[in-house]
Amino acid sequence: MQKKIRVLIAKPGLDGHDRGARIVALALRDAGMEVIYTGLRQTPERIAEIALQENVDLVGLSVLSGAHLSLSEKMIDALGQAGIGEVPVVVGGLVLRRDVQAVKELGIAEVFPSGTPVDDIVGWIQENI
Amino acid sequence: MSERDKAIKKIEEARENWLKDRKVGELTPGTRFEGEPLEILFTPVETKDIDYLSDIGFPGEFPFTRGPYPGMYRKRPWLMNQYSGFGSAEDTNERWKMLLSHGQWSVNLAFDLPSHLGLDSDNPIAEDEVGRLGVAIDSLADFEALFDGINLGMVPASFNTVGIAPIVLAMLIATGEKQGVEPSQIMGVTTNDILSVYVARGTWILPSDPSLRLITDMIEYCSGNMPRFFPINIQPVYFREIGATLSQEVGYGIAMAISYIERALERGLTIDEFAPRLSMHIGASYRFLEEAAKFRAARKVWAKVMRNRFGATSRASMALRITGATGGSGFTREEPEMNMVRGTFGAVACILGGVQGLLVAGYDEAYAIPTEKTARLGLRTQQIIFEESGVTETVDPLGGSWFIEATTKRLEEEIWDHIKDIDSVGGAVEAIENGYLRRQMDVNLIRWHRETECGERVMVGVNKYCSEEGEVADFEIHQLDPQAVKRQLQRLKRVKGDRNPAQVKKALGDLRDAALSGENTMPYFIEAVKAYATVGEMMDVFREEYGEWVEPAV
Repeated sequence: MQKKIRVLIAKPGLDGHDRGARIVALALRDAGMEVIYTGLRQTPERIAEIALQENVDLVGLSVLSGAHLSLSEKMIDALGQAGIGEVPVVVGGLVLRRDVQAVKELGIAEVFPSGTPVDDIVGWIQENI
Repeated sequence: MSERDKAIKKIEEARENWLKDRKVGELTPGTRFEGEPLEILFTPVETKDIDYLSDIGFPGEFPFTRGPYPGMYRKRPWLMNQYSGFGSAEDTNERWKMLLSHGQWSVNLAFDLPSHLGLDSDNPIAEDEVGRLGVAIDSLADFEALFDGINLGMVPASFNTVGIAPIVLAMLIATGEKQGVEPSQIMGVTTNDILSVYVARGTWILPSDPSLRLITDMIEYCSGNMPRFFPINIQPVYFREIGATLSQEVGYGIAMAISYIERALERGLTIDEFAPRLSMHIGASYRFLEEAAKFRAARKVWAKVMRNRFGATSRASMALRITGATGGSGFTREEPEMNMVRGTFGAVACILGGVQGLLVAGYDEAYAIPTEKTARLGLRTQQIIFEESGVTETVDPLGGSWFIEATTKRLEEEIWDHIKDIDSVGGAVEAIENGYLRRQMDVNLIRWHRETECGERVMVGVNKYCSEEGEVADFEIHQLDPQAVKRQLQRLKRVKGDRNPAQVKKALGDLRDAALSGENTMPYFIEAVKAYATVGEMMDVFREEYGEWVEPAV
């Protein structure tokens, strides 16, 4: 039997909008993945710590405050510091399409701006992880 | 059989024939907001059990279905309350003055996230968020700049604030004192609804017990000293973002109100002393007919809860004051100008529903907080509805419509079911702490999201009639001004350097003593604010004593 994909859905920063994070978490669970949701207001360091403990295959950040560039950068650093720099990170939320390339250049594997169908997210994970 | 019953029976028979003969019964029925099918046509049959005097009544009379006040908008317009705040206090003061000069007569403040969470702007974890989603408030000095040239005795001030609400109230009182305005003259509202924030908004600080205690302190303080101030505006509107049906929104809102009321009664206040200062903030999507009925149903249930459950006798306790809002997840990022049209329908819903205040979100809400232009358009939308649309020419123009009255009744019944449901699991606080409330809405959230994705729930420009380029690439959105952040940090540094450290230390010590002794904390917050203690310092007193709220697991 194939091992289930383990995904950490995380809300970094102070923003409390978690509608998107929860919809994605519920949809990934429906698709048979194991989903760990961090809850709100996590620091990148704390998220990296959970990712390490839970041995996840992917970290999904949900950011709606507009701080996606600096949070992405900090997240990549934090995973490197924790010694799991190989775990891919994807970002979803309020990311303007014109910012997508800049976010990817920071080392983010994929960006799912709000409005991305959840099945596309499920599909991307199944294909790439 | 009475004459009336006979007449209804005749209509019923005629309707059956019409459905059959004209083949109307074969058509696909429309749906309710939630997705369930609706009757193709409403007639007196659907409203036959409704008694005008006891179920609908007159505006300003029990059960307040047609409005909390007799004259409604014939007497005065609703409060047009565009939410604004960004950068530093000076930026926000300037935006407020623009809105006031365009005919808004109140101000409504949005705080940045660090302020919501009781963190000072110089706290390292606040770094990326200072002034981003609202204005940064660290000390009384910020309030002085914020209200420069705006008289607190003349302009009602609304504050979207929860965790730091007692500090905001204390700052308002201290600012009023500098302007020569007595607390009894200050008009305004703090949202201050921690329970809905635990469920849906995430800007909590303390656990439920100390949070509810601080809210009760404010209710008690305002009952004695600030008759024109509303210390809590219950916010079930957030639940619409996480899957609430129309009746869940209102039912859970009232269930939360019950928890606040119970605490205030335990404190020794009588219901009629504080209930006239409770209000509720309810959302409206562009499904404006059902939404309008919802506001009517909300007032009806509230009136009965206040009278029958709490023994209220004053009309002001039983008449629910509602502020409405339109925007949120109903506003799309695709072709954002369409949201002006959606916002107009939502606003009309609120006005037909008889609200006392209204916020129309900027059409750019899916992107950022409003620019000057989009904030002004929200206000203009309201002014057109008031001055040009004709919906305010007569009170409750929808009253008596078979569809509206039948929907009001159905929603009322559903609202009662939700209140009973929450009672049966031990009340709103319990239902929130064990995650029950959120789970009740998660089911709809994912279902509606799927329905929207597959096109069953139509959204123009999103899943039907889509254009090539949905997101507008060159459209101007609000940008964070790094200079404003710098100004804020400089002011905080200056405040900390100029104040009297011994006075700050004493005030914070007194605040801690009051917190632990159970005394009303409001006078001590006021002293600490006047000593220029910072928001972070005051909240740290409580964080140290009580810890922070822990989110229930999903």
